[in-house]
Amino acid sequence: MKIINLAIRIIQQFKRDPRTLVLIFIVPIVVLWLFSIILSNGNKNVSIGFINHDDPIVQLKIDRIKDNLTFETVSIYNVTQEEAEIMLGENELDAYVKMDNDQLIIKLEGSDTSGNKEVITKVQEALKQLNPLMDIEIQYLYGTDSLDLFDTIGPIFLGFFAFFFIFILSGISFVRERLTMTLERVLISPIKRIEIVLGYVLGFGFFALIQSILITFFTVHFLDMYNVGRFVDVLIITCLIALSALTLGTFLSAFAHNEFQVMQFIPVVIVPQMFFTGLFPVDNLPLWFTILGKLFPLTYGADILRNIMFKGQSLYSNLFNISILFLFSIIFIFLNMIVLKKQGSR
Amino acid sequence: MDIVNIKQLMKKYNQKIVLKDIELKIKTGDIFGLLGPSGSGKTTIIKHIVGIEKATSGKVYVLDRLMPSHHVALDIGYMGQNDALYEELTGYENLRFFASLYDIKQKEIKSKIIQTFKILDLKNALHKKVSQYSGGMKKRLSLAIAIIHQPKLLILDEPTVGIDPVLRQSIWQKFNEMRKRGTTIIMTTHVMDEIDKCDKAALLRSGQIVACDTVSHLKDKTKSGRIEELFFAKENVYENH
Repeated sequence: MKIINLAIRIIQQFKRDPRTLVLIFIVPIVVLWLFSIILSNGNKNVSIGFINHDDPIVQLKIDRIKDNLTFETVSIYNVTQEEAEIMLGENELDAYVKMDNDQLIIKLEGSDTSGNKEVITKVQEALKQLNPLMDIEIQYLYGTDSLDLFDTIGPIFLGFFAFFFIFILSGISFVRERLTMTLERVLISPIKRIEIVLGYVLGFGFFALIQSILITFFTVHFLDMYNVGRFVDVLIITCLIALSALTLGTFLSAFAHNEFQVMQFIPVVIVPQMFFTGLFPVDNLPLWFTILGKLFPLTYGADILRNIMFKGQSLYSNLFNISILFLFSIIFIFLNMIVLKKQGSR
Repeated sequence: MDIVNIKQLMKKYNQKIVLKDIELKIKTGDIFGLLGPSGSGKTTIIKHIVGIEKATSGKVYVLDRLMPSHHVALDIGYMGQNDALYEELTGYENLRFFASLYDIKQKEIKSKIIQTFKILDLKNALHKKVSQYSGGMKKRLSLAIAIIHQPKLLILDEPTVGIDPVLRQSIWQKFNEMRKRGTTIIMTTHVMDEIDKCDKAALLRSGQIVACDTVSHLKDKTKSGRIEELFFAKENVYENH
């Protein structure tokens, strides 16, 4: 009961603080919107070549994909392998598609990121209608991985904003509670430390949930962020990321003496997490750097979001990463209790 | 019976001794004053009694429980030097929140809040945001939070600082009424004339108790009948060491 009363109090406080509500609800949406404008310059017209195969069964599969590619922005060419390579080289095609041992190979021109994305999106949409289990291999004529980087950015930013704003909100309001000595007053009352922490989780969790619903819904439905996973799954992961942010925020606020010192945690705790989220390839970096990345919740959160939104994986196949992400919150909750105990009887 | 019993309390912050050899017994039903200049350790003693500071050595008992203890939390009311209020909330919401932490039944909360507001002349400010309160109103609301659960022991850190004489008198009236009902009150002050209204007082200087007695006995020890004389007297004793 005390937990619920504490949560209600937090909700009441923020209801009276419209500026903060704008910060956590509106600002992420606006920034994500600007972001989407920068990254996608409208619908791009793309030309895709389909290689003619001798095997009639394989040709049938290719034809079925072609039949489903009924988009105004997609032009289809039937070509031979040799023609395709030449046309791709001369930029007359954005990509060509062929089958190889039941695997669908998409070879992209590679230099035009938005064109590349459009090809993949459209082919995948076409595939969804027939055989979603078909394996896709993506190859590049020029450059590699440019698409991978581009398309993973969306989910990363979704996770990042969920983390960033909830971290600031919880960190600052907890430090304020210390400064005004209301926390001291609460600690003197018969409430248990675990009840304080859980009350905070519940109160801020309420805002984190609303924020997650808003930004997930907005990015997926209005900004058309590439998402082949289930909306609910994306939402659950965004909430888990927000939970780790709010427990970390309240914990770290114990080491800040004022609001400004909470802001100082941003370059220390938030910005480095960006390096491990897959925004930049980390495959060839030293081992210690990779290990460092394992210590941040956002590394796991962004990874899961990417798996769900980009690869269409289920929550179940990400169970390990989800457990770790959740474990972070549990650990932060315990650290919170230890810090509160210290505060209670220094 | 002693509601508070402090034995050989010593407190260090980073090698600096802030309290030393504190022996203090406070009788149930008394108004007890802790008098001393700022920095003398009044607040630190109080924080040990409330249980948010832990002694470096020595023991603090409240209601026969070794502090810090969660068992006596219900019996203690505390008002610190800061008002410690949620400015975005109304007075009613503030009081309702803290009342809920003290196991007051949901049904009784409303009547108790209104009753407490009446006692402290805050009834018109019930649904006003605390950020619109005056300094004196905040202080009274803070006091309301400390007494809403009718504690056996009320601990007040500088309760009348920044309060005008009229309000001060009315607050003292409340203290006396509470004492009549059996509440023990411990308060710190550096205003000498407030000590006159206490039953007993301890004089604190540089983390040590220099005198502790009934207020009338303390006065008898001085030539002028002014308690601050005792501080200077002791100072001389120290210098002759």
